[in-house]
Amino acid sequence: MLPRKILIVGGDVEAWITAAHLDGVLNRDGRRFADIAVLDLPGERRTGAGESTLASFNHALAVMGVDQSEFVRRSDGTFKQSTKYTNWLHADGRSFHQPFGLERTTPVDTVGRRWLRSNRSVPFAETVSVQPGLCEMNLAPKMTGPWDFGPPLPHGYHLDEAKFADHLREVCVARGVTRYAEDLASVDLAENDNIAAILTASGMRLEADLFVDCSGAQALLSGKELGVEWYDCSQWLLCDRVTTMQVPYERFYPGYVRPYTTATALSAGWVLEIPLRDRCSLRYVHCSDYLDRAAAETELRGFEGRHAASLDVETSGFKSGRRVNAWVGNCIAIGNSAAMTDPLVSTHLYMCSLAAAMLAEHFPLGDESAPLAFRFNRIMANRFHEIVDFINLHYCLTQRSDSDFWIEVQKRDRVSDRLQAKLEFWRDKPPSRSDFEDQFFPGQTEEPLPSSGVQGDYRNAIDTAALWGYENYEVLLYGMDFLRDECDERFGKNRPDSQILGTVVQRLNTARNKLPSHDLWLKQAFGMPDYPASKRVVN
Amino acid sequence: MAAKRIVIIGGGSSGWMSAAYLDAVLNAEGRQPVEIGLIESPDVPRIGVGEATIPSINHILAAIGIDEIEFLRRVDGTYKQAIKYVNWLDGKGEGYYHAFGRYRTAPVDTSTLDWLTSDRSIPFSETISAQPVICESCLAPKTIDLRDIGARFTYAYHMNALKFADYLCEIATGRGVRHYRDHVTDIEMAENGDIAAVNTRSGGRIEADLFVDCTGFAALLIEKKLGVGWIDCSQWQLCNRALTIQIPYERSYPGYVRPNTLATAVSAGWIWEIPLQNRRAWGYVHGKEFISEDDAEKELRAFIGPISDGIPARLVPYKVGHRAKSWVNNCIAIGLSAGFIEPLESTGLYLSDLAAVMLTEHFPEGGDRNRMAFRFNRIMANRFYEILDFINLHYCLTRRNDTEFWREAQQPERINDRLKAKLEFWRVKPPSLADFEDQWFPGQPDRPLPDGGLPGDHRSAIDTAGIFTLSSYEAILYGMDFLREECDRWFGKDRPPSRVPPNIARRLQMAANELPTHEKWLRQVIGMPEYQVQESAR
Repeated sequence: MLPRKILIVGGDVEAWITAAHLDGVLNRDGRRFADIAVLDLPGERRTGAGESTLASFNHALAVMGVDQSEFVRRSDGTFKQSTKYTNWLHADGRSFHQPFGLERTTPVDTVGRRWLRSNRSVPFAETVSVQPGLCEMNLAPKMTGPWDFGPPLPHGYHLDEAKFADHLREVCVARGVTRYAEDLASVDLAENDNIAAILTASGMRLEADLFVDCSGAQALLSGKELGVEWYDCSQWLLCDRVTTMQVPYERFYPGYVRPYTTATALSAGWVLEIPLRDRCSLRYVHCSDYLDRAAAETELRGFEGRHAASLDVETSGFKSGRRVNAWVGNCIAIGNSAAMTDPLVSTHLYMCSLAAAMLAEHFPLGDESAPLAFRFNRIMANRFHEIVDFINLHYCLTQRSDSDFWIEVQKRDRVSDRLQAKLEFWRDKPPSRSDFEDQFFPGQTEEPLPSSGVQGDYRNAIDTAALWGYENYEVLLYGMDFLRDECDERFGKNRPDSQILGTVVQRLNTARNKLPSHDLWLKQAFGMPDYPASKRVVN
Repeated sequence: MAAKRIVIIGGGSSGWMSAAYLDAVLNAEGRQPVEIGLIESPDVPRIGVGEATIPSINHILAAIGIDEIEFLRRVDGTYKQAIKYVNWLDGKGEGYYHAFGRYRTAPVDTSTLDWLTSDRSIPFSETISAQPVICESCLAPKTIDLRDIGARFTYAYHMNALKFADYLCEIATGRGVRHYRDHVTDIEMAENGDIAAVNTRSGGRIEADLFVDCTGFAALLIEKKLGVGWIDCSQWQLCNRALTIQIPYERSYPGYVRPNTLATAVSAGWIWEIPLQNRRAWGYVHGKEFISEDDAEKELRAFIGPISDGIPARLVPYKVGHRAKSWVNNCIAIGLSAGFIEPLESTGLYLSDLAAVMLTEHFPEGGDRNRMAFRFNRIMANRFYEILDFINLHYCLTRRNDTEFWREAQQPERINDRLKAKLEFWRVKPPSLADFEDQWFPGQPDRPLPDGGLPGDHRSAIDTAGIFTLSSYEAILYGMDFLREECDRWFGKDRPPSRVPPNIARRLQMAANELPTHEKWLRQVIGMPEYQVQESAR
């Protein structure tokens, strides 16, 4: 019967995103489908971890009922308009952007094919988006006054995860989500392997209809208690360790706040730089088989510059993979307990929001929940594999041969079969819209999905292009110089200059006068302090 | 190898739509020009019944560069904002709309849940779209001065398909497409199994890199020459012919032009009513196993009334199914030669339009041609089954028991397995957006596609919601009273009255103040003549 009781276990950002989503969707317009409680585990809290989001995060905020401006204020937030990839193709300092806003021509979109027929004198992304240019000028995606600059510029955010969690917790509790700040003592299983209740450290017995496991990598319910199998994806995503460092602006401030995330390839992985309002948060994501802990630390300090010599670093491991079934019985794993990937494309918060939204969409109205679990698992698995393939694609097209790591990632068995089939097809025909509806290509093997033995779905994952369409693949593929030889062969070597879309040229020209610098905007809107600019010295 | 020359065989609407679209896209600025020719036989009569379209037609028109007003003038066109289904549920005069426009709430869409948790006192379609009421009042989707009145209404058109073909012919030939008025007598094969050339009665020999078969059910190239098999789908569609009658407004004009197609269920199928600027067309789509031609004609004439007396009816038999592969070697079948599904959702021209779009997207520019064919065939098969299942849905939820036809339509073996899996799932959870990404539901068999005797892709079809999305499914399902008992169970029997959301109420107020009748719009903007109104025509 409605409302149903839901207990979310885990006190991190994952738990509060889930609570806020479920409350935002299920308890709205006078309806009340869910009584939500969070068992807020007091265990070790992540502090200072910088996180970056996709542009769709704005929708998630709206669903959660979180005010954008208040959220940015509370989370040390800054804007993100793009991700800039440096040194991925060759270790020569060159880079390309994957901006959120991509313009196209209508009614027939010809920009990809036109660029392929050109001499590549302008990087592809810069021919279809104003944002690489805006980013390089460190401009905000907002005006100081009212917006009169045409359609809004799509953007995501950089944020402090722990502060964001605190903010969400306050929002949720104020709306009636119950919070128990306690440790979990044990789990009471029912006869049918459903969870009956959770016993807390103080001896409380918390019953619910549905239990959500947001306990992170330890997967207290889904992994430890129910023993749901983990499907490892390290064959395709080699990185398994992160060295993090916070660089306070008091120590070093470059004189600007980048309105974009950077991903710079190093010897055995890449460095993520997330600029916040008081510091820059760095993560060196690397593969432990190719680099030991101390060497990673040294490389990261060297990358950041001389001022980083005495800054603290932390190292932690992770495993790319997913829980074979995220929803089993009445237990749903959300967040790192359900799936983890290399953070290259900033999908952690996205996957939490998606899982919470999908749980709300597949919320049991009647008694039957097995078909709902089946679909939930299939959707989450599809999306996970979509993300794995897209990350995989960043690595496998590299032409670097300066380290064992970069040589290894180009090998055939480091590329998933699905991705391999796509790449082969796209060598015959450049990617186009219809490739992203049903992504079954000639030559693709029909390898079934792994199963834990729970009755379920063994069909191949379908890449539904829910996250990235052909526009994003074009940006990445052509950023990685894909189809160079094929174009020479098909269109000759003597080709006309690349052309930037007229609308992009116009907008870039006016941007200078319209848009303030990102740091100026942050100072005016959120009182970001003035930091003296320092000069980076790299050994 | 890059293709440089295309020859299209067949001058019907599929042929000329392909010619004009291929020319517009492939010969756009900056591409290597492709030579396009079309061979139209003077001997072969064209199939020309009143054609209704779906909104995707607007893409083709825009890509070819056709002005809407000019288009409407040339093809006797009228607007279509919805399909109204009458007598599909109980056969007692009830009806529902499948409107093209759909209102949703944001950031969380509760528009459907609002209705499901209500007492259903207002039809679902009227709570999610202004168009049912606009259609009932016979209003145009635009003002006479074409000014901005807020969000544009989504619409398609009714038109004379033969005039559309003529208009496209004029455009395409004006841009350099070569028009051969000649009869193909012989098809010459190359050693590799490609078609090398076609020979014509006037002694011409026409070579090309790609041959497009638009010869209708005759399928001269793809079937008669290449022997590619046909996959029959009559198991899921009981109708197999249409009996049509057209009545000019000069003889009988009802005083209005409906801005929607009407589909009325009758004893052994359904009757369409499509209004153009100069006539109305009716067609009785029926199963010959359930009614004789004579009885069908009697029923159709009784439905139309005495105004049809003396006007001959025409019988158009058809077969439901699709070509096992519509692209084989260098031959691509587009139109009836590739497949046909009954016109209940007006998808005839759409499948040709989609094939033309997909051919430009997969046009061989130097890569492996067979890989283009593989994908083209997979996409077309997926879309075919998507439409097939959606049409199937209209029949299988009926509660009619008054004739053998309607009893048969409810039998389990008449419902596709994919559709069954969907319906079962939706009885547990009402349909929602995520269902339309990857439509693989529990219990659905992973049966391969029939292979038609050719190697290739036999994976089961994926229903990608390429045209019929959540909105379309909801319109049919809730129009057919789906989930009535489930809602009683989930939300209790005592539920608040349904309501029309304020946004739609505002749109309707605006429509009442601003929108002219469809007839008036057509007269003033397009120049439709004034006809004398006959009460008996209504």
